[in-house]
Amino acid sequence: MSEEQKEGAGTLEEKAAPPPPKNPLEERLNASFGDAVRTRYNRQGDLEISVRPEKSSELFGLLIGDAETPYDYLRNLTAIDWKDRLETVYHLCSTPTMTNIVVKCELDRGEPAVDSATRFWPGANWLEREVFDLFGIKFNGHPDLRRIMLPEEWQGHPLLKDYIMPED
Amino acid sequence: MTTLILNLIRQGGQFASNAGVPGAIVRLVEMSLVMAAVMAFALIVTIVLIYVERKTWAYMQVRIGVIRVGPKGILQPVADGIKLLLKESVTPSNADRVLFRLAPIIVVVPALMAYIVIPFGDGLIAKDLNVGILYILSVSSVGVLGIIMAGWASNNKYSLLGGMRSAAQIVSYEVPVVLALLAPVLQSGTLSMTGIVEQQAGGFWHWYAFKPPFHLAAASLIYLIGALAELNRTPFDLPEAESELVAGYSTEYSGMRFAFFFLAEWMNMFLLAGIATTLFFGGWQAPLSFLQLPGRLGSFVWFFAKTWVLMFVVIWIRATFPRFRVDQLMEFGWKYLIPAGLAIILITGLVVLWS
Amino acid sequence: MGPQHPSTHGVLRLILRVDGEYIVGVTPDLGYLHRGMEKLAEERTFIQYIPLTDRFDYLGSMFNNMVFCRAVEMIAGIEVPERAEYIRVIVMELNRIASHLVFFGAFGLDVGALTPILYAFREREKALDLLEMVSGGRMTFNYMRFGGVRADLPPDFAKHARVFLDEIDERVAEYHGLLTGNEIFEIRTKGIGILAPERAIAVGVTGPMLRASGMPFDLRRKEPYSIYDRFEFDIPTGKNGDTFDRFVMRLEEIRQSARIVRQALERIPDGPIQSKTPKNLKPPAGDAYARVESPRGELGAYLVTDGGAKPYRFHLRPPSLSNLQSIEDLCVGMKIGDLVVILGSIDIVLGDVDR
Repeated sequence: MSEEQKEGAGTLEEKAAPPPPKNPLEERLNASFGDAVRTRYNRQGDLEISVRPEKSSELFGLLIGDAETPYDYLRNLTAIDWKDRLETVYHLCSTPTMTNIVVKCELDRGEPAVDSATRFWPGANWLEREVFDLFGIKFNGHPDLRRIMLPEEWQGHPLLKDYIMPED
Repeated sequence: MTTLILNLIRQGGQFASNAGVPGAIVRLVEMSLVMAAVMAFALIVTIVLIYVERKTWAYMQVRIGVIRVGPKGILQPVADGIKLLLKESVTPSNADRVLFRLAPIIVVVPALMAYIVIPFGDGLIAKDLNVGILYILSVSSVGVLGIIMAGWASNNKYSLLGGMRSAAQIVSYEVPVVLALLAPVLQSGTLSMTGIVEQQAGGFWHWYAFKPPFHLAAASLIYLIGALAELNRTPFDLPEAESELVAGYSTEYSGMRFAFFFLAEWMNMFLLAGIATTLFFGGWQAPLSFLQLPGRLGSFVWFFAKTWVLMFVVIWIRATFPRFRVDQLMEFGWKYLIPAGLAIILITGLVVLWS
Repeated sequence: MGPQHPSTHGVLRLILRVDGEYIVGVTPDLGYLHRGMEKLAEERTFIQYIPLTDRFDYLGSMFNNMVFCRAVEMIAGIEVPERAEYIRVIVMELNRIASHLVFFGAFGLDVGALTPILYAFREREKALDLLEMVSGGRMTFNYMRFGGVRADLPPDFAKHARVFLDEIDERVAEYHGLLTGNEIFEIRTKGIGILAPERAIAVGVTGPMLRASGMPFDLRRKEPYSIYDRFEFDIPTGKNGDTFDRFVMRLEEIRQSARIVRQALERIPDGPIQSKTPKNLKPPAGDAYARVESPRGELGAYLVTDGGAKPYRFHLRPPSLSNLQSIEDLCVGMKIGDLVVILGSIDIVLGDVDR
């Protein structure tokens, strides 16, 4: 990233941030998905899409298949525990144009599940397994959803905020 | 040293038979003493070789190597030997006991046996068989059996795999080695080791390796490459490559038995270098006739020097080259060395006919 | 191939399914080095976490430091002074050289060449000496801070660095002479473990592996961060995507890194080395994904803050994990002997994979 957008945060100097360049995808997304999708621009100027879990596959399909900016590179896949809900975060990049997009998906904490992204990006395989291992989020349609870091018999999902360390 | 002892033994033998001791016993004792002398020689050479190899390697790898045990680390091999002797010889519980114990012996003994026909100098040969080369080839082939036995008897899949690979490698490369050794035999017309050395007298241009039209130089190359494979040394040391197989066929061995495998490798190294020197590089002949040092000791010095040069090259190769993959190794032996060996024999035959 | 194995570059367990000599499937079993680093991040203040970041990719600690500091700087809007940026570039590129030297040595070992690792480590000592001069550490540096670096370059640093840089160019030529042109090495590495570029991107492979497959994708060029857009350097790209290309490329990258450091040493301005940041930093709530081009690929840091003194969530995007994911693609159809070579060419660090 060659520039950083700075937002006054009370601790450091404020600068007037130039308006972020618009991502042409934004209008199309809002048009086709309507309510299921919310868009904004984050501090770095990247388009951030919050999508409902049921629509995530459709969104991914659209992103990877886009003619001008195919989002072929899944940079990062992880999750956040917001105490009342879970959220999966996907960082995507279109390598021909180097445009970046962030997709966030809020999941119910009780039975967190979302469609797997492996059919679009095979690299999501292990990344989703790690999220499953450490957060307990199930990925529907994942070819081999099992723990990756922790032993198979481990109980619990350590990265959840309410995880209690076992005694031994 | 060896000369002295051999002379003493022979004179002692004559003395004894003159004194009336029955001939058979004299000969028996004589032979045992000669064997002991040869074994001692082999062991001493091995010990020195271990030290030289480690130091040479070290310097090639920008380090100093062994320096602590004894002045400049000279006693290191002795320390290694003592360590191995004092270690417990563990036999795995499910191993085939008889074969497990027999294997190291079967690997070491052929190496020792082959030492008998190496001409260390003018007249310094334990027994000058007139079929020397045939004897060497047959005897060294027996060593493979020991390796297979070791791999099998260890009852360990890594050992088995390593043993099979080693065996396959050695057997495959026996063929080019035999072919390469046949060339000097054809050239000189005799199977006797001393005979071949005598044919190379006069100066280094008579040595087979340097004799035009250099067909024998090619044979010496093939022989050296084959010898590297026989020794399981880099670039052919895949059976020992710890990247897959821990230590190959000798994984389960410890203590004295492991020491035997070790010894066998070094003894074979000296042996094969000695054979190459004898057949291709003039044996104990000096490069220029006036440089020939007097007496038996003199010829021994030349033989020794040449053998050490060859061993240095072997060590050098090990420090430098990466290793072949198993199938590449086999391909190289069967598809390239064997046809080359056959071609050389053909050429040698033609050359001999011509002259 | 179990977790303790000389050739798995750390504690990695690979479950192989083989059909004779051919590999049919590879399943890595990870987690042997899982230390819960991401959970630890939630229990440490930002500045307390910096030393822990060193331990992710421990061969490229500067990059871990950098990516974490950048993520915090992105969220908190901290500017980094010029001199600090230059210093950061210098130490990162020196770290890259050191890491690639380890790759070179270890890869030589994997292929069976026992000498290159010693040469590589000789050079690496000098690089680590330079880094120690700057940061006090040889492998884990804890050097970067939010808004700059912890300490300035010592006065004689530039002189020593230049000596080292001149030497490294010659040495890389020497390394090429030692391994790259060797036929055995070429046979072992050419055509082995080929990865197609489209597959690479789909799997998330980045760094030298991706570039070896033909895609000139280097974050320092594609998404310049820090001040990389001011330096002139080439991006080595391979043609075939096999292990040979990966090897040659990483050696080339050493040269290019040396180029960058030279330019940085010439142009470095005077000035402060850290902007004023509060000791107890409380960045505003938000999130950021910072990424750098580490020796293994795209190293990313996704940081979520909630306005408190500790990160709310920190996730490291591990280049080695995504690179390792491609191993099944690379190995199927290859022989067991190739597995070690392929694994070596991926150049993973388990600290990165498992965290």
